[in-house]
Parts: sequence; structure tokens; C-alpha cells
Amino acid sequence: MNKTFFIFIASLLFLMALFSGGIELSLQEQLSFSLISVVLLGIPHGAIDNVIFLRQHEVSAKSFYIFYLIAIGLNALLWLYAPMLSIVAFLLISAYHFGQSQFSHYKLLKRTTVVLSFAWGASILSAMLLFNLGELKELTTTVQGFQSFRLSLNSQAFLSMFLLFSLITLICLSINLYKRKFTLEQFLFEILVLALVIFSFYVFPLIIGFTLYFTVLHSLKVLQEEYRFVEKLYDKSLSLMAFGKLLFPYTTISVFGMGIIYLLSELNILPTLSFGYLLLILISSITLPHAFVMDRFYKKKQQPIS
Amino acid sequence: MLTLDVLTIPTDDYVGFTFFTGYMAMMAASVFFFFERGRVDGKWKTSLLVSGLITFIAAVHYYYMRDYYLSTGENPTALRYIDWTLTVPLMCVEFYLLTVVAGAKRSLMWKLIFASVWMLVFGYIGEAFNPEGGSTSHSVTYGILSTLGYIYILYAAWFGEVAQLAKNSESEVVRKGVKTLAWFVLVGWAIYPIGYMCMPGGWLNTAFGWGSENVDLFYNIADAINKIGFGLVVYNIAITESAKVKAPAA
Repeated sequence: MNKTFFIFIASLLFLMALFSGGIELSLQEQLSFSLISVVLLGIPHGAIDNVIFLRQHEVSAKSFYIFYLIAIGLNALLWLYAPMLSIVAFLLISAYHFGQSQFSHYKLLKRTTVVLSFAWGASILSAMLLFNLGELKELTTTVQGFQSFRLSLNSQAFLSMFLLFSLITLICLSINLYKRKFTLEQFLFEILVLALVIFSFYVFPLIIGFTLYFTVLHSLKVLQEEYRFVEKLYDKSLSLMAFGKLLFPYTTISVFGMGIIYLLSELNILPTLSFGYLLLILISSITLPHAFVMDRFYKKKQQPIS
Repeated sequence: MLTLDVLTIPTDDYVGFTFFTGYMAMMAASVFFFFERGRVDGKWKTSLLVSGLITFIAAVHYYYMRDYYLSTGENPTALRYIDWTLTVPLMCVEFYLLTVVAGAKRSLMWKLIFASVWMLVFGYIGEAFNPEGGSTSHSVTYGILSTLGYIYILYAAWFGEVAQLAKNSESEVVRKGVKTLAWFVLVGWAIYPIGYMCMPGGWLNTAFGWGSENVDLFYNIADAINKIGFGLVVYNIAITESAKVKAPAA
């Protein structure tokens, strides 16, 4: 067990204790919980993409920023004109990105790496959709912008995807165990992680379940890897405070930028969208270049986590 | 006549069945640990005595719990918590006994005992004294307090003092054994909050309509695996390490 997973377990247990008494959080309270967690951990984990990419590649800072902003802009445009295509692309990219970061500290069998990464991410995302179908249906009827997804909410399709991708994940994990890429303990640990993430999607409301996974299990792990990368750059031990100082300006710029876009939308300068839908577009748009940067990061640098 | 009534178990009563098998398994394990105690080296005798005590205390409680269950058909919550309040701290003592060779201080034992009693007492208050119909604030408060105790033990076993001492131990068997016990704490002990989840408003109660009557089956199986399994891990360490001591003389 690594410390990230320990924090995930502890958070899961505290949230379960909170929900075991039948407590019901309003959408506003859930969003507040999510927003605080995402600003504290979610956004910082993608805030130093520039530092990571520019250190690893012979690319000018100007070219990188242009590429990054064009990717964000094109993705946002796609959302306005082809929302269905956009959400499918977002889910596919996210599935691969989540799976890739989950197994980034193993040296997996090359032939299974991409399949396992994608199947793991697709398994948890289809579980999230399957177990929160009621909430999603409500979202598509009450929040402006989500109506176009209503017809695609099919429990049978989500169930089939969930079973298929979970099976592929188990097969890939077993192959890696058989080929001694995992120890038995690591194998059992990965099964436990997958089971608990799926369990959390089943037990908690959509926003809470996803926030728990995204901020603790995903973002915190990526931050840990980024911390080690930056520490190596400095060639000396890096204090958490110093790492925080590095993250802070980029995180602030990201939050500020997202705030500006929201404001421009509210002032009708940009197309007027509901807060929830705009948030989805923004998250999707920053995920696209971030997933690309992290893909290159993992391919260039595979470092173990104790 | 009374005895005949008590011993009658319907064939489809899995809870009653596991109360009987749980009782017999715990008793058999106690006999095994007490007898095997004579075969191990002196420094491991206390560990096996504690393993035997854990299963013996559980066996006595299971004897009473199965009667209580068969005569009332109800969940013996109070008896279970009395059992756990005695046996879980003893499991924590096992952690101390295994790491004492690597330099564990007595304060570690008391910290673990305190955390386990904390976890169980608040868990019991939360589960047994929940007002009729279920009180959210009551469940949440005691649920969170109880969880704090569990998290402390989990941290100690995986990253804290226990894990560090095991890491520093010269014996590979002790290192692996403590890791296995840490897995018991992580996976095996995770079964116990099921009672909490079956209370009115809890997610098992809401999702499947499960009540306290459904938890006994899980508890009986989990108890047997955890207590006997815990003891067997300790037994394996003791017997392997004792063999190492005897080997040079042979």
C-alpha cells in the first residue's frame, strides 16, 4: 500500500461514516466540497505541465504555450458544435489518462500497457456512469446544455461496458502477474484499489465519488510523481513548501483563467452556458493537453513510488 | 427439553450454522495454539498464548451468542462488542510482541490498545444506542470517532511504528508476517463496519433493505478468518523462527 492509497482509504471511511447516518448533501454542498478539493489538488496536478514538458523536450516555451492554448481552444469549439463527439472523446482520453497514471510506477508487459491503462480507466468510468444513472438523468433534464446526452444514458450499455472492461483489466493484470511483472501482493493491491474505486462510485453521489477518486487517488499520485521529478531537477531534497510555491502561481493562473471565461460567458461575450455545462467544457479542455503532456512524461520517465 | 430447543437449527439458517461452526473453529484453534505453544522457542511462547487467548475468548462468546441467536433470533450486538473489546486489543498486543525483538517499546502496545478500545467503544455507542428510527447526527459522530481509531491502527501497521520496526527486523519471516497482519487489518477488519451500514439510513439498509439480522453471517465468517488467520500467521512466524534457533544445535 502506498500513502496515496492510505489517504484514499481514510477519506473513503470518513465519507462512509458521514453517509452511513443517511445524511444527504444538497447539490450545492456537493459542488462546494468538489470545488475546494479540485482547487487544492486537482488543478495543481496539471498546473506545471509546462515545467515538465519543457524540461523533457527540446521545444521553445512559446511553441508549447501556443500548442497548449490551441488544443484548449479547439476542444472548447468542438464542445459547442459537436457535444456528443466531445463527451465521447473526453471520456476516452480520460479513461486512458487515469489508467496510465494508475500503473505508471510498474514496468508492465509492453503489449498489455496500453490495453490495461485504457481498460482500467474505462472500467471505473463506466461504473461511475452505471451506478449514478439516476443522477445523470436528472442532470440532463434540469441543467441547461446536458439535454443532448439524455438519449445516450442506457443502463444496459453501461453495464456491458463495465463488465467488458473490468474483465479485460483482470485479464491484463493476471497476464502481468503470470509474467512476474507484478508480485502477488501488488496484484492483490491493484484488485483492491479497483474494487474500492468502483465501490465508492456505488455508495456515494456522483460528484462526491468522482471527486474522491480524482483528487486523492489520481491527482495526489500525479503530484507525488511531479514532486520527485522536480526534486531531481534541483538535485537536492525539495521541501513541500518549495514545491507548493512552484505550483501556486500556475494554479492561480488556471483558476483565474477559468474564472474569466465564466465571467465572459455570464456577460454574454462568450456563448451563455449553465455553470455545470461550462465547467464540463473547461475540465475537458484542460484535460486534453494535460493528458498528452503526461503521456509523454510517463513514456520518458518511469520512476518507482515506494 | 430446553437444550433440545436451543440446538435445533433449520437447514436454511446459515447464520445459526455459522454460529456453530464459528464456535467449534475458535475452540479447535485455541486447543491447537495452546498445545503448539510447547513446541516453540521461549520468546515466542507469549505470542502463541495470546493467539490462543484470542480464539478462546471468541469461542466462549460464540457459545453464548449462538444460544442467544437461536432463542431470540436477534443480533447479539452487546456480546459481539464485549468479545471484540477483549480480542481486538489482544491482536494489537500481537503486533507489539512480534516487533519487540526489533526494539518496540511498551508505549507502542498501549497506544495500539488505546486506539482499538477507542474504535470499539465508539462503534458500540454508535450502533447500540442509536435512537429508534436512526439519528443521523448520532451515527455520523460516533462513526467518525470510531474510524479515527481504525485509521490510527491501519497507519501504524502499514507506515508507522509497527511497519518501521518490522522493516528494521533482521528476520525476513517477521517482516513478511507483520505485512500479512497489516493486510488482515486492511481487508479483514474492513468487514466490521457492515453493522453500521445496516442501520436505518446506512447505505446497505437503503440500497438492499438490509438490517441488523443480515450482518451476523458476515461477522461470523469474518471473525473466524481474522482471529484464526491472525493466530496462524503468528504461529508460522514462531515455528519458523524457533526452527532457526534449534538448527545450529542439531
